[in-house]
This record gives sequence, structure tokens and C-alpha cells, in this order.
Amino acid sequence: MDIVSILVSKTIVYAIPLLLGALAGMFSERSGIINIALEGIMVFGSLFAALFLTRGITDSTLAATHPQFVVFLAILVAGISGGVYSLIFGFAAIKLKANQVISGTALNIFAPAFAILLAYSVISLGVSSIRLPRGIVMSPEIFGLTIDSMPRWVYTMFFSSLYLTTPISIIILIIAYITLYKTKFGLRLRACGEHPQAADSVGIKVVRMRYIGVFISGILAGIGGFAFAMANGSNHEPDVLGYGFLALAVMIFGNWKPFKILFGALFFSLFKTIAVFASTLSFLPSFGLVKVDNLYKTLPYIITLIVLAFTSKKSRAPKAEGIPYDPGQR
Amino acid sequence: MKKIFGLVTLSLFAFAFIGCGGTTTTAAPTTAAPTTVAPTTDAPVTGYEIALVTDVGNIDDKSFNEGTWNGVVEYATANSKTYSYYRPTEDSTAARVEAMEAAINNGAKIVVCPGYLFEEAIFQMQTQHPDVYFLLLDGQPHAGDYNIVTADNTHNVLYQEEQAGFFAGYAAVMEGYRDLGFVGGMAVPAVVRYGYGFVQGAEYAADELGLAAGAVNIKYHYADVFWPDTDLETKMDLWYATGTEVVFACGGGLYISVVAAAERTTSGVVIGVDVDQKAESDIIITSAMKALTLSVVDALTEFYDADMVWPEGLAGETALLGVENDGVGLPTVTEAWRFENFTIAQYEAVYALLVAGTVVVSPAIDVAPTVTLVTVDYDA
Repeated sequence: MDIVSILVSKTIVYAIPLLLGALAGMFSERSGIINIALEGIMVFGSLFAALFLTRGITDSTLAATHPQFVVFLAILVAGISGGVYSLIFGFAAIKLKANQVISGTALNIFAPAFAILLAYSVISLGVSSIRLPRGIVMSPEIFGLTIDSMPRWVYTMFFSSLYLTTPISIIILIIAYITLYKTKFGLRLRACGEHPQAADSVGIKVVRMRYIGVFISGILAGIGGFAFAMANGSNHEPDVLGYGFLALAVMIFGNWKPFKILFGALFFSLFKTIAVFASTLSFLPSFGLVKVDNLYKTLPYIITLIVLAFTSKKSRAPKAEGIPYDPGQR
Repeated sequence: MKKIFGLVTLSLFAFAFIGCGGTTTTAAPTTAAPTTVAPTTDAPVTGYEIALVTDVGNIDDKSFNEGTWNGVVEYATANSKTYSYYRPTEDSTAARVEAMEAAINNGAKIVVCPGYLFEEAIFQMQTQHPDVYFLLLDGQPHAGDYNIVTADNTHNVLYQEEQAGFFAGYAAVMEGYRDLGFVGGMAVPAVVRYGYGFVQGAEYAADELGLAAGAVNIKYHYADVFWPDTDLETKMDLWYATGTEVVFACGGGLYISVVAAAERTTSGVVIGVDVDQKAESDIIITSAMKALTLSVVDALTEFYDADMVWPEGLAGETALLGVENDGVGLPTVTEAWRFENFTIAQYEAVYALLVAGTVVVSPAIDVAPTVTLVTVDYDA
């Protein structure tokens, strides 16, 4: 039971940054912009949220009395900074009609360097990682429970790594679904990603829609970066270990659909966790290999390839993604 | 629309520059990151006399680099010397040589290099720059073939990490822990000596306590990183969830992942490494220390007392620091002594046995120590 509970707990906590990152990618791509800059935006959001928590508000009475409200503010900071940063990318990709992959890559290279620079100048030279304050984890006390009142596995499974980003990202997922499929705005956004010229012909402002898509993408990726920092030992690093790119894989696996993305994120996260556990848990088959964890680590990617190979006919990649909008092409 | 985005971009740049403005004391002479200088009022600044080049970690790793750096800072501020540090751009001998060249171009008279990774770089530099002095911690220069050649402008310091690890393992078992864990950064000599020493210490304590064979279990793992890592943290969560009580975290910044996992449990604890890490978390019960800061201060003192050369006995020589010369040990100050059952008297007793040579900790790294009472899972 201990093993199952720790497996569930770790799967959830690492699925959250993937889920937010993939939803971020989805909003951008549904509007027609391939947002390969997720990795950089995540670093950016994580950086400002960490600075806000440790430098902005750490000694205030608010932080002492309402720690979770402060975490909520930090999530807003992460979202806004990610959103603003993504607008640079949006400007290059939409206004300047630049190659989206190249300008996105530029943002990915810029963000870690900027994160180091800012940490050096705000905190002290040579300190690039920022330790988030203790107590940002949601303890059972918040729900009126105590650690002793529940079995240990319940505590491990649900509370040992529960951060505010977890419930918030569930809410975000539901809002994302409703926005995309049940609102006029969602329909217009999707139209811009499928056939922007047609959308334009019926009076939708494609450029504005695409900016909005990229901005939402930046907000979600920024929050995702902060979620990653919390999951990663409550420690901001100028690097999110490739989770931005992994999120793109999750998005493709999820076929650009919110709930399939949730499934994809949990799936990836589960296998990443199992891969780490593989050498410690003797009951997992080792297939006669010395370092069997490497095999388990490849599994999510192999399965993604297989799934894509069989379902690519039904793949729903937005038709116009990656192509700068040219009104003259009608 | 255009104006708005112009403004956004502009404000971002402005922000970046405001960020830069914070470090007014920083000089930026090279590609490698230099640091603030101790103000020298009596002499004109000609550069940075004492230079430290970091290995793969940074000077804030709360461990090996930081301990060395503190020694440089301590000596330099006390004696009004200029000092700086340089971080190689990547993990390679070429990058390390480049960083050392940058240090020398900036006026370094003595270059402090923490880590065996500098062995080949110093082998090159000690002949190329005979007028510059080198202090190498944890290694001895060679050309990649392990034929040790230490020139007269180089002084090496080695530590008997196996003894520090021994104390950690001994203390853990004497305290009452039976399920231990060891996480090393990589299987490099210093880390392996810590790990094998840890196993030997646990074995010795099990023998002293008369425990049955198999009563003490050790999970043993190399994380392949010297910094925090999500995979490692996940693994540590599993270890703690499946019974591990204490983990010896031995590899630069990776302790952050181990501590994070331990803090999520109700009773898991951690043993720190290299320097006294008590301030990093309340659950770091002790640290297997080597006297990095002290040995750097001592070496620099000798260097400057001999009029900025290595004196006889240090030039071209390797010092081996262990229990005999207070080179390794556990912190015994009250705030750092977080054991309940294991006493300082017990620690001092076993320390004396090591000094006397009654107990010998094997420094061998090519074969795992033979154990009869402790079960070690080397692939956990």
C-alpha cells in the first residue's frame, strides 16, 4: 500500500506541470501558433513566482497568516509573467510573421540565461536556484484534518505532495474545456487555427485571436513552471528539465483535446515514476537487463510513437498551425 | 497595437537593466563569472590575486565548492587580499583550462581548484604557468594516465573520505537506525570512498552492538547528478515510504532532493556531506565533513607566509588529511548534534580508535568492502 500510495502521489504531482504545459500548447496551437517556447516560458513563470515568494512577500504578516493565499498570489505572478513573456513570442510570430520554431527557440535560450542573471542580481552572485519557503505544501490541517487521524497511506497519497497548483489546474482544465468547446470565443479561436482566411472572411479578427491564444498559452505555461518548481523539491532552478518539450509530446498524444491531454499527462508521469522505481522494486520484471530503469524510461515515448502511428489518420492537429497569417491568401 | 507591443518589449528590457543595476560592485572581466572583490584601500587593485575555479557545481552548492570558496573568502577578507571565482562554461578539461587562463589573465597568483576533475587541467597549467601557484583539493595532477606529476608550483590536498563516511555509518546504526540509504553523486573516487566508508561504519557498529546478520540494510545508489533532480526525489520518496529511515546524501546539491523527500515523511532523516549542513534543514542529523574551509585557509596562510610561494614540504607534495590531523569528522557543536541515543563520548571513543589505528577503514574503491552483518543492495 505504501508503494501504491507513493506512486499515485508522485504521478499526480509531476502530471500537473505536464498538464498545464500541454494545455498551454493546446491554446496556442488551436489559434494557429506553434508554441515551442513553452520550456522558456515555464522557466520565466517559475522565476518570478519564486522571487515573489522569497523576496517580495516573505516577511509580511500575510505570508504568516494566510500562506496558501500568498501561494495563490504567486501563481498569479507566475501566470502574468509567463503571459507577458509569451507576448514577445507572439509579436515575432504574428506581427513580424517570423518562423515560429526559430523565434520560440530564441525564447527558450533566453529564459534560463535571464533566470540566472536576475537571480544573481536580486539574490546574490552565484546563486541561481531559489529555495521556496517551507509551508507552501497544503497540510491536512487546512481541511480540518490531522496527520494522526488518517492512515499513513492516505496521508502519503493525498497530502504529502499536495500543492495549491493541483486543485487549481483541475479547475483550469475544466475551464479550458468549456472555453474551447462551449463558447463563441472557443469556436473562433479554433477557426483561426484551422482556416484563418475563412475566419477572417466572416469578420473574426485573426491577429487578435492569435495574440489571445498565445497570451493564454503563456499564462498557463507560467503557472506550469511554478508547479514544476514546487514539485521539484520546492526549489526554483533556471531550468525545467525538458518538461516544456515533454508537454508538447503530451499535447500531441492528447490530440489537442483537454481531457485526452489530462490522460496523456497522467500516463507520462506514471511511467516516469515507474521508471525511477524500477531498480528499487524487485517485483517489476527486469527482462534480464542490468539497468532496466532505462527501458522503463523509454516506454512513454515508444507508446506515443505507436499510438500516433495507428491514430495519425484521425489526428486533429490544427490545419493552419505554424503558418503566419497572410490576409492576401484568401 | 504596434505601440503597445513596443512598450511591452521596452519595459522588459528596462526591467532587465534594472536587474543588472543591482550588482554595482560587480566587475565583469571575462566570460567566466567573477565576483565581488574585497576592497583594498592600501594597495592599488591589479586584479584578483586569489582565484577559485569551480568544478561542475557552483559556489552555492552548500557543499564542496562552497566549503572551498568559504576558505578563500575567509583568508582573503582577513588579510585584505583580492579574490574572485570563475565558473567553467562546461564540464570539460578544455573549459577548465580556459577558466584558469582567464583567472591568470586577471592577475591570479594562486588558483584554488576544488575537485579531482581538475587533475588533467592542472597537469597542463602547472608547466605552462610556472610562475603561478595551484592548490588542488581532492586530486593529484596527471595527464589522463594516472602517472602523478606534481610540479613545485602545485600543492595537493587529499582527504580520507572513507573515515568521514565511516563515522556517518557508525553514528546512524548506533543511533538505532537499521534501514539506511546512501546516495552518491557519481561513482568518482571521493564519493565512492564516502560510500564504502559508510558501509564499513555501519558494519562496525552492527558488530559492536552484537546485531544479527541482516539486521542492518543499506540501499546504495549513484544518482549521476550533483544537483537537485526530480527522478532522484521520486526515488527517495519510494525509499522513505518503503522503510528507509536515514539517507546519506553525498553529492553537492542533490541533498535538496533527498531533504525534500525526507521532509514529506514523518520520521525520515538525512546525513549531510562535506561541510556542516545543519542550517539547510532540521532533519539533517549530522554531516560527514571534511575540513575544506580549514585546509584552504591553512594552505593559503602557508603560501603567503612563505612570501607567495609553496614552502618546503608543500611544494610538489600531497597532503593527506584524515583523523590524525582533524581533516575529517562529524560536527560536535551542540546545534549540529541532533542524535538522541548516540553520544559525543561514543563518537570521540571511536574517533580515538581510528587515530590509534586500532580500527582501520579501507580506502579501496575498486572492490566493495566485505561485510557479514550488513546487507547492501548496490543496485537500489
